Amino acid sequence: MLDLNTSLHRTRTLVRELAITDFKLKYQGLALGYLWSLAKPLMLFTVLYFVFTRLIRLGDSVQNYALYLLLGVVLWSYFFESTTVAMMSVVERRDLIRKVYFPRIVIPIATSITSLITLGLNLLVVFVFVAVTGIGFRITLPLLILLLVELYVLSLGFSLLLAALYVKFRDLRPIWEVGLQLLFYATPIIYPLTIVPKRFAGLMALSPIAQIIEDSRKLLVSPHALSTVDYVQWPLALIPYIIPPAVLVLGYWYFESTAAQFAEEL
Amino acid sequence: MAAEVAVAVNGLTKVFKIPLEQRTRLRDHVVHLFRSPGHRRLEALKDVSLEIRRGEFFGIIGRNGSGKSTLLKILAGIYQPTQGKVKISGRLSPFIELGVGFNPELTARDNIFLNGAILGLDRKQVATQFDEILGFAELEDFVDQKLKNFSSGMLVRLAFSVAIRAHAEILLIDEVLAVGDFEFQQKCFNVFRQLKAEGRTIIFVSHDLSAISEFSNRVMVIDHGVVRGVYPPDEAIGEYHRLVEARIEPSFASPAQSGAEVPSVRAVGMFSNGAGPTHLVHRGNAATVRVSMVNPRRVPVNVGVAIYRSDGLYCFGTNTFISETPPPPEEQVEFEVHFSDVDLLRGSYYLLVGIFGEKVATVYEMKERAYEFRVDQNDDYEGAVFLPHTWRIRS
Repeated sequence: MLDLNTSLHRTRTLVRELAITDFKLKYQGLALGYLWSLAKPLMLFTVLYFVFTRLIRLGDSVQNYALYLLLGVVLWSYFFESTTVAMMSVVERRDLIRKVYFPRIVIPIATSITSLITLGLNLLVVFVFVAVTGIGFRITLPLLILLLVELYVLSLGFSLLLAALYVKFRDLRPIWEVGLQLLFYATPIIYPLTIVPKRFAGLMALSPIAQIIEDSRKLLVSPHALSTVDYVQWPLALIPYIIPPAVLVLGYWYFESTAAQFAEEL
Repeated sequence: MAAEVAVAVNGLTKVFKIPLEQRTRLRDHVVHLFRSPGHRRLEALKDVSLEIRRGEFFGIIGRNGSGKSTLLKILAGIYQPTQGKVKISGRLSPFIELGVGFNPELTARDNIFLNGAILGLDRKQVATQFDEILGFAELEDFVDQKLKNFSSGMLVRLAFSVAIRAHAEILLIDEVLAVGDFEFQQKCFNVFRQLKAEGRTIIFVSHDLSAISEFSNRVMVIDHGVVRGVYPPDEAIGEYHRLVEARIEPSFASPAQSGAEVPSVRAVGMFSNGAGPTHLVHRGNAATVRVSMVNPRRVPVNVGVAIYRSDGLYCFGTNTFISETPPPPEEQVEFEVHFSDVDLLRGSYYLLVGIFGEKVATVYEMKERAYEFRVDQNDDYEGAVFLPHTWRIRS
């Protein structure tokens, strides 16, 4: 029991130190390092906003389109960033793995925490936006934490799976990025689910990312936003909530069953 | 008593499967879906069994590729055994090499905390020992410098200094002293003495035979993944030399055919008040260096023996020309250099043996690090050599 305790303590220390290191390395040398972490999603937001309000006028049909879009982009960017960075985390730490023993799972977990910090910073901007536009916060706002937990679980599950697979398959990166590209357009990020024809919307609503984004819009932007339950019958509506823990279990199982071989395969 | 055994290894075999073709991409697997890639089996360790007692300083020697590093990595938990069992009782320091995880873009301060965490120390434990770590490494003035600006010597000092803080009962040390300057090596040896006195179990892999013979209680000799035996240090080194020489022998069997017609060194040994070769000499004692050489064409040669300190300081050199004892023109010559007083001070040294044409202009062979040895002393004089002297008080 004591052994388990010390090893847990050691794992926690290591996760923290690695996360701190990642964070310092990511932003050091940039005087406005923290602002830089905001720049990427904000740039994407700005471009999309311009295109879909000035050129294509898709946003006209949606109330508070700017906030709609910003929230979608911020949550999506987190999923994109955290999974692609974590995918390469194990391979990038190969020096460490070949020379020291420690629970290998520490590496993708540390990376996921670094990404989580960035998400937190980005959400601060969203909150400022909510305050400035005068939409105001509703009493249901704390429920957002549950959605963020769901998003974290989903991202961590994919991160573990991808990090372990990437050790064996080094061409996974372009494959995953193309997959994400498709998913980006199949997810209601630049458009609300309401403008999608009903028969497609039902299918799209089964994706946990779509559900998370739509549900957070419901909490933060407009209570009239539709979510999965509005499109799918109730037992099926559970699907997007089941996928994240299922992916985490799968990812954890696969990572742990291959971790002992990492030192030899890297 | 079972508790006295720190490390027990039983029937350990490690096989590496080396794929004959590289398949690191998903594409390769899809293209060759129905053809499994061939493997070459590399047996790095074969049925290794050993027991290391608590508080023992256990040396491991073997040639490159003998499996000693693989064994250490399995003990550390980095590799999984293919067969057999490893039982470790006590906390093991999880490092094989020094400075693992050091990041050149971070300051010394950040790296100390990071490296500490890798070695199993939490922030508080590192913080309380922070000044000691810097002090031992002699890097107080560089705390907030990025590591990329450090010299390799500074890196080793910092790494060693953090590593010895890991409060492990069992330490695995692999070739840590290959780098670093002379002064710091002495400091490291002092730490080893202290750790040994504290009753820690230390498993030490090294090519530095003199260090092995000075510190180890027992030494394991390993060759081609097979344990040759576990011996007292001097016997182990003898066995190791037999291994190395057995390998060299064939190339000397027919010097004329192999084209090795030039004179060459066959064996180098050092003797000091004992029958067998030794790697430890006490200051002030006599020592003899024995060199045997082959000279198929019986050309006139000048043979030189030089002593270097491990940091490269050239201490002394002599040759048959300046001492006016030309070797006889025979096919096989064995000769000795007798030092009546080895007045070198404590440290690691090595011999360089060279065979030249009559006047050094032609080099037939230069054998760097032909033989390694340590000098020990009972007093505390400092420096490179002992100069006989007396103190007089003139009030």
